Amino acid sequence: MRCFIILLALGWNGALFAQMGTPVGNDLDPGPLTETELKEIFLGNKSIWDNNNPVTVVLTSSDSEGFAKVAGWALEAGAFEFQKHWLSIVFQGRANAPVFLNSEEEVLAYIRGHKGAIGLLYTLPVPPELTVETP
Amino acid sequence: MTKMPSLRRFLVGLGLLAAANLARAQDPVTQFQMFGHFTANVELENDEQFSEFSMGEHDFFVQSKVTPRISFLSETIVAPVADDHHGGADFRVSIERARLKYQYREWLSVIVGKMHTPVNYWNDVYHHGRLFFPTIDRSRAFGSHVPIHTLGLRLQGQNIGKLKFGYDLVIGNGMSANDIRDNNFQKSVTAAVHIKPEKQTRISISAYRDVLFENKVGSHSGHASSGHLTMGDEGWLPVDLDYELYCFSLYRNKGKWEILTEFTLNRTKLASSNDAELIASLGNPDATANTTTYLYAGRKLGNRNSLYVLGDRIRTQTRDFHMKSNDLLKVGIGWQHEFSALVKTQIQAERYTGRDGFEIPADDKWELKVRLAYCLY
Repeated sequence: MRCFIILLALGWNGALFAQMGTPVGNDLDPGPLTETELKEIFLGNKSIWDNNNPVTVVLTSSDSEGFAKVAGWALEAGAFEFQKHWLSIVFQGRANAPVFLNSEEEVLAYIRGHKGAIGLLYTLPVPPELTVETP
Repeated sequence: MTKMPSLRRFLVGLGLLAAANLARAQDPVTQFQMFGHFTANVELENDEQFSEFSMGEHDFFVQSKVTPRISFLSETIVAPVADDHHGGADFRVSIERARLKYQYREWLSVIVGKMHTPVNYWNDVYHHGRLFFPTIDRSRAFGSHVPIHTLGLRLQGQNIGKLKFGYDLVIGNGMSANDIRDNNFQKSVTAAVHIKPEKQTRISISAYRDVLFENKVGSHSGHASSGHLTMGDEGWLPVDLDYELYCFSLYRNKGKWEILTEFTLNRTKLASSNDAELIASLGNPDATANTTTYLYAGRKLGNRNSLYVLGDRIRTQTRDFHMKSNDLLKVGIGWQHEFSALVKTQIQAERYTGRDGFEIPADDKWELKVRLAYCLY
């Protein structure tokens, strides 16, 4: 019973479940990226990599499971709040809009073709050439 | 030179068009959004009752990453204008933002064009985006003291260091200007800094300076409210005014609570460009000190609902060459429901009051408002 209540509580707030997916990127910063740095990127707080490539955040669509997982991990909130967060910072003109795609396959394909693009994968394996180094 | 047959030219053109469309499909860098709202209002004032439905401005928002470092942002609104003719429907169109941004590094972007003057959180973050408004009405500072637009040059840095320090330095046409010209050498200057010590928390301060020539304002001021002295009003003088504005904003959205506090201090005094004899004849008055204070606190009730309270006070000194004196207070309580991230409704009960003895008499009324705000894209 106690386990059930704990699981129910965890399920109630998806943020508690939030795990970082596997980062995938194309020609990003030299050197490893910490989880904190990655969170800042997915919150729209970084726009240029140290190697001068522009940051392009690539996400699956706002109604996807992957989007909700990124929301829980980066913002510690649900997909709903994460969508509002991005709407707001784009409206302010303080960040470029993320690229939204339908599936992780499309995310991978986009990143492969765009330097500076970064995404998170939860189901697909990361190709070695797109691996993001983490500590 | 051989002339390309028309069919071949057509096919080549079609091919280029298809290639361009394919490239666009692979690289969706432009976003189009439409913000709009509808409002219903019931007002009780001095035993009289009013009610109305109103359609708000519709805001066409475009943001495009033109190149990896250059982005364009524009906002064009179509707003209904009161027209009492039979079947009349009149609208005004206004380009509210049109700006090109070149991002060199995190700590430096160069922006040119027409922009929201980044003096306080409300003007920088919400402005026309009623979907984002925490309360139905804008804060009173917006229509009284805030120079809502600037057409000019802006240097911007953001997310610098651990505190995510940001700055905005703007030089542009002042409040006396319009969207195509500014008939003087003097320019408005804005300096704003902020930090974001935590997620969804921002603390900012700013200073703004301008000269209002002949006490007139143009399209960038937002000072079109009845709270301002205009030609024909008793006490209005065509004098040049030094106009200073200092703002403080605190926004925090953490856990169950969301708060926004904004404070503005406006100082207005006779500019040195006025005739010395005129200044002396007016008694060489000191700078005035006018303030606005806006407070909002919302408590989330589940994922989609929140209950909130607001307070909004404006105080203008008895002797001000630009604004009519007043001491007005609005308090309210509201409930918000978000159907999705793109549609929300708010219901708000407000009490308007104040102190008498000023050029603007104290309010004494109640209002009940219902708002539906949305974004399409």
